[in-house]
Amino acid sequence: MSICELKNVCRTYGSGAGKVEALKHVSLTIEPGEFTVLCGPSGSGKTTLLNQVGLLDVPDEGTLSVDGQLVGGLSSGELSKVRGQKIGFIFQSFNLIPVLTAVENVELALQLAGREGGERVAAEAVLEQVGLAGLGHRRPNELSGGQQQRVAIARALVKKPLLVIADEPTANLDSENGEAVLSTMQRLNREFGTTFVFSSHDAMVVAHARRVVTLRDGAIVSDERRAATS
Amino acid sequence: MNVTTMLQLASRNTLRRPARTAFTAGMVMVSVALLLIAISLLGGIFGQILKDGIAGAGDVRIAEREFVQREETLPLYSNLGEVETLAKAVEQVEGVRAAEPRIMTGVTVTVGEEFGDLFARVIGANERYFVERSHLKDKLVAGGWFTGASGELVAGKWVVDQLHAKVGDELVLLGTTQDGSMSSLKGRLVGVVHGAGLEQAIMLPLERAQYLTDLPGAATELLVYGDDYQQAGVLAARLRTLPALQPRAVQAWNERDPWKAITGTVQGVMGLMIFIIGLLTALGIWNTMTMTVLERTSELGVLRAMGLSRPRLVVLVLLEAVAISVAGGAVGVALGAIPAWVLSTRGIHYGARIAADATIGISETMYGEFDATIVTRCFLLGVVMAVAGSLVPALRAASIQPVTAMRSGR
Repeated sequence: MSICELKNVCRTYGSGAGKVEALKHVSLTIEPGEFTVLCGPSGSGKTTLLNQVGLLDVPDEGTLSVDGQLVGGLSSGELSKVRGQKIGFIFQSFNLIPVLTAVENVELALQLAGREGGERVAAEAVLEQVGLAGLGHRRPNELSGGQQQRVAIARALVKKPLLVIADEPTANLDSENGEAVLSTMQRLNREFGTTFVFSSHDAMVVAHARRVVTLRDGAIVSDERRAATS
Repeated sequence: MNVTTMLQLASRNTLRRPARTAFTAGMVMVSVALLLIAISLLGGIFGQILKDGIAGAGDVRIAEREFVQREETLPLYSNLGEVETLAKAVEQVEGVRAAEPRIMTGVTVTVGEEFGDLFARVIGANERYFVERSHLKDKLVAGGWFTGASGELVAGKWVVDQLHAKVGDELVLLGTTQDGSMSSLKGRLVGVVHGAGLEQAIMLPLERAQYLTDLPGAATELLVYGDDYQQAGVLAARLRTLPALQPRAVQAWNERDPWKAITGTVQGVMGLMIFIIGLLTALGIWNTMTMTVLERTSELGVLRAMGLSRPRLVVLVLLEAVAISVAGGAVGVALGAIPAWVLSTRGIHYGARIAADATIGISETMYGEFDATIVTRCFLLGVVMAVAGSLVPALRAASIQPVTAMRSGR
């Protein structure tokens, strides 16, 4: 069973002369264990599509199912629950909660997923997996950009989600840190079978992806699957 | 997200902008302190005025319905016959400590034999009413108290001054009987009282007032006293079930003017004061929390994206406001408690002259009211106002779409 399936999805913003068709009848299926990048020029609809896949936004037309469940009729609260339990997020600006330490940020994701008990141990274990053992007590402003993004990865992965959505995860990092973050994600994908879908302009990211979906003017213009890279 | 994490997050968030948080908590502090002082002062003074006033007017009054309807004219024909028997029956009712018959009527008064043109109000009652209820003996400024000899009367200082009378003079009262006939009564002035509501009064033993008004064994009112004037409503309800009182008017003090009007006014003033102070608190918190929500839009969007539900987000914002208001309220209560305590123990001394000249009965020293209930109420009021003020920003936070998280930092 696919993890996420979009059929004929449309999304329009604004009205009248200012109307923008951000997605035009897009169909896409994400299979378990995929490492997919959405690429395309600015305004092509990458983030809009990512928002649909991550249940952050709802389509105007078409259907969307996650883990076999149609999400079209779900309420805001039900969508929150599905996101909390099944989807992890990595943002371009890291978006860690500044008043919480690294380990507390990771724990928070578990709590929002409704898991109770053993959060601290699980959070520390994931921080170790992303190479941040011993830094859990630090607050985000005491970490470098690369370290913050790795905390964000740990936060997304700690609840063992079906799918991780990453929006331009390397855009705010230098090439060295960007590469380190990308390799971490690749390793987690390989070792734990975590499914990643991310948007990126970064040629290096696109080069590492096993599936590249290219968008232009709100439509998918190519969907290329590649052999696994190291 | 569990409660501990929410509390932790809320309390840490308050420290993100320490100066702003301190300013907002300071507003709550000042409001709560002002509220405590104001409620203590107003509540204490008003309570004392009521207590003093009701001491003379009774917790509950029993009178004929027509007397109540035409009270301004003091209609003597509408009276309570065999009032002592009625008083005894009333005193058997649970919660009644005493029932005092009273006659009030208007007279002209003069010294000697001449007809006078000075109007006065005769109050006829038993010794127990004058001494134990109205405490008139304590308000004597000249002469002495009734000795039990016949023909004695006590008058208010204003009446005595207007008549240029002195203790020992014979005063002549000209009034009417219950059927409207003229009636006169001579009496020797044995004492002069000074105090609010007494200046134009002439006090007579009940049987002398009954003679003047031709109301043998009757009175115009029966004033009933219980253990606590604040329970007068309950007492009145109980008295209304007494068969002997069925056709008569039974009124608790707060159902009668001037107390009814004063209570309404004081409650209105206190309500307005609480509203204004509360509004300032709410506005302060609203301003701070609105800025907080605007500044943290993306962060709140991230929490929504990660699965935090709208109701929980509302609670998270409210908790932050509660944390600020609890801190400010606690300091405010501590600061306000000092002057409130001083007011309740030392009071404000107006002096005998001001107290006596007041149009309503007030004591020379007025005390504030201060106890744990007032402190708790003021503190809780501060917190409730803070929560009320943060509701709109909290609802605004809840309206943040999870997709906002994706837009941040772009």
